[in-house]
Amino acid sequence: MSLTILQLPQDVLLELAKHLNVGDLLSFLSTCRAIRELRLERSLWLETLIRIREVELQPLPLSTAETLDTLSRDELQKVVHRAHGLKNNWESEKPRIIGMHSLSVTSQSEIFCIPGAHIVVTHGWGSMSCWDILTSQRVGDLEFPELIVHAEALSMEMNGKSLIGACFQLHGLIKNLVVICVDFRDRAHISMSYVVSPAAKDTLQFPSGFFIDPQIMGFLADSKLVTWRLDADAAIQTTPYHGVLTGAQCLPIGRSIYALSRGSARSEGKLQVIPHPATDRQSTVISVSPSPCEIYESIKVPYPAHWRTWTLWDPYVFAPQYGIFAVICRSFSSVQDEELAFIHFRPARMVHGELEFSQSCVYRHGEAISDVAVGVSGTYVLLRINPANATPYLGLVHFNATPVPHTTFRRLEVEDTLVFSCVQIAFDEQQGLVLLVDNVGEMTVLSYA
Amino acid sequence: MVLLVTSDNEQFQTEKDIVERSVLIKNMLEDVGESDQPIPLPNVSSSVLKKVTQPSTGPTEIDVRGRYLSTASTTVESPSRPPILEQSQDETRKRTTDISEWDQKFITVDQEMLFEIILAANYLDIKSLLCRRWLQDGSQHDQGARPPEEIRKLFNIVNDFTPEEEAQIKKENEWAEDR
Repeated sequence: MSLTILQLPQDVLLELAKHLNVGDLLSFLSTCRAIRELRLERSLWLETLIRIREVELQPLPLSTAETLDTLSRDELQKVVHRAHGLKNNWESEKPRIIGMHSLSVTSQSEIFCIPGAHIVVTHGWGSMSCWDILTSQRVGDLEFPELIVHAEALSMEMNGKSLIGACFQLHGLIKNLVVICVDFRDRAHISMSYVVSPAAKDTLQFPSGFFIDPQIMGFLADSKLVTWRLDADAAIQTTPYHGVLTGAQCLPIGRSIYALSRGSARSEGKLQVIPHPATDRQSTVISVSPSPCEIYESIKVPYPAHWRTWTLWDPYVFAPQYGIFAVICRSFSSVQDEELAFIHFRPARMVHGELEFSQSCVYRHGEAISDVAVGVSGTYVLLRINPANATPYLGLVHFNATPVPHTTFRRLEVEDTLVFSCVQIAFDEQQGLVLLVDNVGEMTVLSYA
Repeated sequence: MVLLVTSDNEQFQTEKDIVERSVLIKNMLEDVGESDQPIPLPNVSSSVLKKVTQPSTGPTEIDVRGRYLSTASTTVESPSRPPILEQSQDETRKRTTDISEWDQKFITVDQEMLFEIILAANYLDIKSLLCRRWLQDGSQHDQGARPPEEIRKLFNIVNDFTPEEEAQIKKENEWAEDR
């Protein structure tokens, strides 16, 4: 008698099911009753989610307040469906808006999302506010006349807290460093607290490249590396630093701080590796990575004389958990209304505590870009495209490492007036949220999951 | 060398390090100590044992439509490696980059043999013989989803859902369907 799949013991079937990609798994579970029983196994969903994150390199639609260990089988199953649905939606020809609502936020100059948490931070000179997107409520405020929040200095802790780096700054000089903690472990009582450093003794000019991790925050200032141990009693430390980097972004990984400069329209950026002061307090030597210029090797941008305007965004840098180290965006316009924009994806992975880079992948767009928001993985970039002779619209660029590194571009169909009137965009890749804020502080939340 | 006896009474002289990929046999050998006694495998036929004990330095895979994949290639990995879900990312990446090379090493078996091998691997507790891509047909549709009807056809599964259950499943999978 012939052996069929249903004669396999349940534990073998379960093992087989765990090896399917999500789409096949959901189909497999829908073939018959006996196989459908497998869905009652919590381990099936748990391992599928780990696989999505670790193998398919897709961030899960969860905040750090929710850990896989604590979720029930039902919740895990829902996360699988949501993650898979979102991925399919982003990758379809015409991504669909699943939900849309709006809320009034105070008209501040910048916004960013706390990834996965349905929390958005709005900030401007002297103030910062947190908003719960699910309830449309403001959940916290900070107001200090000299406060400047640095969106790039955002650290997600694994238990539902986010640390945001900020400073008190007057006439271009940093006076104090500030760390703001947003605690969203309890959704009903999201709270904000802050710690201010002692006053800086040195003159700290031209700050750039703010970074933060759970132990330390810091930045680069005019030939100094400035660090502070997130303690109200710990003095701000400065270390001489010899590379002057324009528009640098810093990222602490392991025992090093990776500083990637944006370069100029004519020149390429540079990557420098600086010893992490917390692990190597004595070192004042700046070590340069083996091939500091290579970071831009494939992004040589010709700079013809007739380019009239250009925008160079500071690079976005990532601990390459999802295969991307840096995303670099540049946009040019010429007097003849020629336009060209570049989104550079720089893939890398961690090998024995060191970054190992692979070939860059560049997306070229024939229209000018006015705003950029990059998701938490670095593989999705939301663009507000602003051609000289057409209405602005939103686009999404996705970097995909398999089968060969390539990018795809999708236009997001969003009402013209929304895109036209928006002055700020933000993006939560994990939850599939696109946020648009207009100049009177009306924020529209578009959900793609 | 270890002497194995299959369900159809065939005897196999097999290298010790190959049979020790099976946790079951390894434990048996440890229990009996050094001995020339044959080890009976009443649940494994000779044709299946041949497949399972094929010398291989890498992970062995079974895939689709009963194709059986063995990688006697350069990647030397521990035979008792954990299933894919516990693998480090590095290994996984290596695996994906190696796929084209692996594809060439498919050995075709029919579906019944596929299940026999899966059962034997389960019985013998050979972790390296987990069939990771048993539903994928090679490299092409690895990302996409096969509709349930296609899977039913492939494995002769009879749809025994009531229309109500079907509607419920459809609703549940709504998020996941291609749009």
